[in-house]
Amino acid sequence: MIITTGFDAFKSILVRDIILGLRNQSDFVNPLIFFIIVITMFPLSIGPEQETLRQLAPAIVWVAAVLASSLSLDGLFRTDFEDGSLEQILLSPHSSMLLISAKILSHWILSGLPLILLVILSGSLLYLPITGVKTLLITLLLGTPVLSLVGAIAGALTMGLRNSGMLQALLTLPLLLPLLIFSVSAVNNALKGLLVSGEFYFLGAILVLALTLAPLAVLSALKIRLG
Amino acid sequence: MNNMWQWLTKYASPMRFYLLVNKLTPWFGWSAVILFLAGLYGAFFYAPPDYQQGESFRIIYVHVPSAWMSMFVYMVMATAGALGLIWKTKVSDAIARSCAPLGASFAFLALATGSLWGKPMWGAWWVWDARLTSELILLFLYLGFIALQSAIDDRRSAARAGAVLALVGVVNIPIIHYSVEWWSTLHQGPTVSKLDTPSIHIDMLIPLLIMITAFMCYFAAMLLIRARCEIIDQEKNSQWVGELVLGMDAQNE
Amino acid sequence: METNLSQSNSTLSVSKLGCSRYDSMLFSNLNFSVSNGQLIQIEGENGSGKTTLLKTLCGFIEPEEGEVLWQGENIRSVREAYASELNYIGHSNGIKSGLTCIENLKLSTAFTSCLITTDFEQVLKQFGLAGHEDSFSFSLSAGQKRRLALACLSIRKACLWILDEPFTSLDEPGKNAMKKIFHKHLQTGGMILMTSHDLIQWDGITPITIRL
Repeated sequence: MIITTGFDAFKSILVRDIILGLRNQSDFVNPLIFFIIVITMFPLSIGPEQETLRQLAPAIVWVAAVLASSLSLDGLFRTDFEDGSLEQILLSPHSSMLLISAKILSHWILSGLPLILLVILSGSLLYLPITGVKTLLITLLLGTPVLSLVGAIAGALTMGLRNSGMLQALLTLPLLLPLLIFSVSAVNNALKGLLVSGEFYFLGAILVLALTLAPLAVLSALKIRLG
Repeated sequence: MNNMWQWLTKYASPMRFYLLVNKLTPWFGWSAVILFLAGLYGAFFYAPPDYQQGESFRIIYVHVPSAWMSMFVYMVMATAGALGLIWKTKVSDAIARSCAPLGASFAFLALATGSLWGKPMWGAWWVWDARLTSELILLFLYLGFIALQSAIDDRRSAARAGAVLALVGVVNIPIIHYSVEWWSTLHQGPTVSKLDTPSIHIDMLIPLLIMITAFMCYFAAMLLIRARCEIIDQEKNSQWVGELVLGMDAQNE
Repeated sequence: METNLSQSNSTLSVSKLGCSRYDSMLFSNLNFSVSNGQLIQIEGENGSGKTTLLKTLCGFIEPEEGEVLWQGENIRSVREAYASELNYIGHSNGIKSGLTCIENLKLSTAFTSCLITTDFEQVLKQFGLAGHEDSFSFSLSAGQKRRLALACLSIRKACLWILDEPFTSLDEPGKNAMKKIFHKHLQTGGMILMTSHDLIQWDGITPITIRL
């Protein structure tokens, strides 16, 4: 008899999802390629002038990040729903909130973290100076978890429905607009040499709000959809 | 307090709700008609022209109530949804579901009238004004709610999922509102919002209040009618609906 | 080593249960109970509500009327205690096709409060999956997947097993092996509640049948 703890369970689900994510290489890499392609669309459509691109850079990177994240959210609960693993997760004696948080964390590690690492590349594609890149990095660090958390709510609500990817994006994007506003404004202000602490505080507040409320909403949504 | 509680729980029964709606709707409907007529008379004839905007400001008599209603209806929708989640009442589910198209229409009306207002004033059919932008995002939230509910087949599941979404929206609305306002001052400088209501004179205020009340009565009437339809649809297999239909058939013959 | 799975008398009981789906009642006023050593077989035609009943027993669906009781308490109020004594396999197997058999077994840590054994190779051998330890689950046949699901179930300590058509996709030897495992589970004080639309020949077990 081996007693399992909540921490074992959390680790088990986290490791499982990361292994599965890395094994499905296309599911893992495709959103990142999408991210780069979306960024590329802008210089190609607007024109390659440095000044224009530099001005638009934070907005372009953030919009591309939001869209790429929406893409990768589609599979967050769908595969578990289809093969019955989600039922097992909800029937586990360990806290469902804990296990769901493990899933959301794994999503962030697989999709948010790589985006953060791609910032330097995307910044240089759009002529973003180093101060801009640094601020952009921090906004992504604070913001990508929110993308995973809020997207998870929409993902849970639309689980199993046809065309769920589109519906999920429709539900998530309006909720992410404040994040977009503050992140882009933070980078723009940093480029002008102004203080960005206000924006960072607000981004931090949004992150904390999402961390506390989103898992609850996700769990309710999952229970509703499984019923 | 206890009596009110008993009264509320009494009307949680679909059948009693149906009977209540039948009684209340004509009152709300006729009040709405009278108040609209009074309000529009006041809007066009009683209120003096604005010293700055001339006659075109009169559109606020539709724009402001619509915008206000779109927010109010969202609160009603979220509250009904929450009640449905907690107490699992079918009536509150029906109310929440019925609120959404009404709220979306109000939001759309607010946007359309805001746009019509903008054209003679600023020469553009659309301005990214803080309030209009917030209103647009609110419309997106409504459309998302409607899309989610129509995508889920099981009525109960759709109601509960919609309720979760509406509650998430309620938490977000102050955040969205504040951040859009902040964004707007950031990009326009400290100028006052272009479509702000003019400083309100009492003669202008009275028709506005009448119009708001008219919109409320209209909303109440429409909500009750829609909710009644939802309830009938949901309970179509129950005995009391069967008897109702038979009674109507007998009347028609 | 035989382990006694339940402490004392455990009962799952159902009182005046009624469930609805898509605005119509599937069944109502259902009453029964399961105790240690009992196997209940739920029968009914397609669409009679067998799966809905199982899901209600697991707590996924809220019943329209009546309640489900574990040890006399509503399952909603004793969620953790109930979940630690319950194992469920639905129509889909609950195994990840992207993981190997061993990895799927290891995953059971997350789904139970107590693992019976960690000798995963031995367990796989018991279920006829020896040699497939490191094969990905997507490469298994439907019958093998079902066996893997039951293997995962067997290493989680739980006294109540709720199974939705456990014998589908299994061949004759597979079915016999499964019956042996059920027998052992019942003998150590476990309970089984299952649905099946096939007629099953039980040797040594007298199931209680409930028709929806």
